[in-house]
Amino acid sequence: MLNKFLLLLLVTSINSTWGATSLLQCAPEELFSSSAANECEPLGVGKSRRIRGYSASSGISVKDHYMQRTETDKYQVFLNINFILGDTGKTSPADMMKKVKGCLEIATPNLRGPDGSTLQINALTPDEAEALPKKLDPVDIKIEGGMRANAEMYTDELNCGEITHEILHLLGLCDEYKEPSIVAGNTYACRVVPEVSTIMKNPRIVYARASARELTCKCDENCQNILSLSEDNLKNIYLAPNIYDAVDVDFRTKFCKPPQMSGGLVDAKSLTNPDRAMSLLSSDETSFVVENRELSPVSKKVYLSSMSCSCPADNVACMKQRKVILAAIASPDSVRTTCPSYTGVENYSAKVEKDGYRLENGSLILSKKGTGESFLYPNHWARIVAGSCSILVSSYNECATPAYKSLDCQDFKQCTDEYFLGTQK
Amino acid sequence: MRTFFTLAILIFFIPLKAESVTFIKLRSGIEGSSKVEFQLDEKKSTLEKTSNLFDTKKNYNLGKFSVPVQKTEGPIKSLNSLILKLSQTKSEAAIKPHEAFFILEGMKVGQDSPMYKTLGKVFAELQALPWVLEEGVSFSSDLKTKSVVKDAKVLAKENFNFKFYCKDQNKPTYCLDKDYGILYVE
Repeated sequence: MLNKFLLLLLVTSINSTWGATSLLQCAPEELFSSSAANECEPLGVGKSRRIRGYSASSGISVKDHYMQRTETDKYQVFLNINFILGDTGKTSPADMMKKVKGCLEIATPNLRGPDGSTLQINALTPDEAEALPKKLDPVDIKIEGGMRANAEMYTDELNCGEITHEILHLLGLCDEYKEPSIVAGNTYACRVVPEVSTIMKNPRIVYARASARELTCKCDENCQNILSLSEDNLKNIYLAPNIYDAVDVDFRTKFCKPPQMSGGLVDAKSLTNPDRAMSLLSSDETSFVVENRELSPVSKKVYLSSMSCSCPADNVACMKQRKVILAAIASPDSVRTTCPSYTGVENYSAKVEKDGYRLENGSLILSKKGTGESFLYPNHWARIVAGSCSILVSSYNECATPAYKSLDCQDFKQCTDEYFLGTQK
Repeated sequence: MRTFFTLAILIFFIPLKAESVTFIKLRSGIEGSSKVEFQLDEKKSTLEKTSNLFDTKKNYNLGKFSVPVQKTEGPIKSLNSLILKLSQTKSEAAIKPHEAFFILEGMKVGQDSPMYKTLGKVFAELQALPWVLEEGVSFSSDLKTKSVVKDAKVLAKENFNFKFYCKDQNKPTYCLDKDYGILYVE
């Protein structure tokens, strides 16, 4: 009903900018050749603007969309998305659309600009888009099985963070993760990678961290036994983030050695910070050793192992990541973001008052309140709202330009997080 | 007339039977780059695979493979004629983030290109050949052991620490080998 109302609102308020030719893309060097003057004017309240789809040789093609400013602090975007079931896909287009709409609806409060303005992204089916006064070119997105998601091909397993990330690609944001490839060739070596976590760098982590979420995990016999123990420390160790949560698979397989048994089985009481599942044993300028604590459900003791990691001193990305990991080890959350065993089912529409866990119908439910932080850094926001105007958000354009370049990288030393993304409040 | 001359010049400069053809399928994602690279010539046909992403059958081998050259004669011919066609294309197609694409003799072909499907057929034809792992890693189907292969022989066999090397404990997930690439497990 709300969607229909919003659609009606849009239909009745589309203004005269329909015919404007807009160029917008992710890697924005082509932007500089575009921009009629009116495209750089701020969108007035009650006005709409069409951003026409554009394909750039060096990066993502931004898709045709409308942007509407419904109130001073409220923006909406409308995309026409045509899901097509691929050969290996299992999720029907209708179900995928439902999932995408659900994720975007939950994301809206977290799609905020620096002044608190919000962006509501509306994914319309081609039928729904028919109600628009003029044609909005559809984005064809195939649904496939497996793990082959991209901005125009979704997989059955895609989570809300990844869906939001892919949708933001359609609006012109670039990837910000370090290409973790070992292969030569097109590895986007020139990409500027921020130090901070962003929706375009760590979509799953950022979405899960910011949003209130319940994660329903299978709780087998071991899990049931552990959670029925009277000792809180043991339960906490079972539920707290461990080294596999803190040190992502890319980092650990490149820069760490598999954990080795260190202290064997010990009583939780003998540990420092006995409610934690990991503890920093040592660190220096480039390396660190972290203790992992796993609960033995039989002996009810804690199995200690240690993992050592080391960054080559000249590997800036590794050193940056090391800093983030050390911070996560030093002050871990009380509840992990992944299931202790097995894959869980995420529910972002649950109301969560505080972090915690509960057992329900034989399942373990991990609840996290979420930080409520915006998914968008100020320059992400500005880039999206600027639409096809190239002269705005020049620092983002400058730093995002090399996102899909691999050779002849220029020096982008000026692209600190603050310069590239702006400062998150 | 102009097209005729362009074509004539191209035919003159591009040998109809290339001495060597490099044909790559690539996809970049958060988990890493998946690359399948064929190096095909009259003396040697090799395949380097840094991921099993493009495999159509379950296969847990990564590394460098070889196949008798006679088997690749047909695909080489097809690729040579496609090189000629591609050389006449004025500009490279745009490649979207995380999109799989081909690189044939340095020329990129994205999924929006009309040539993508044709290249896909040759790719599938090449993939279906009986490639032998010469150097790399081979994982057991239950992912409990990992074998290191050199000169087409198993050099060492070791237990595979799934928890450490793989992203999630449950499937579908992916596992990383710092020397040979990404293993998708479904």
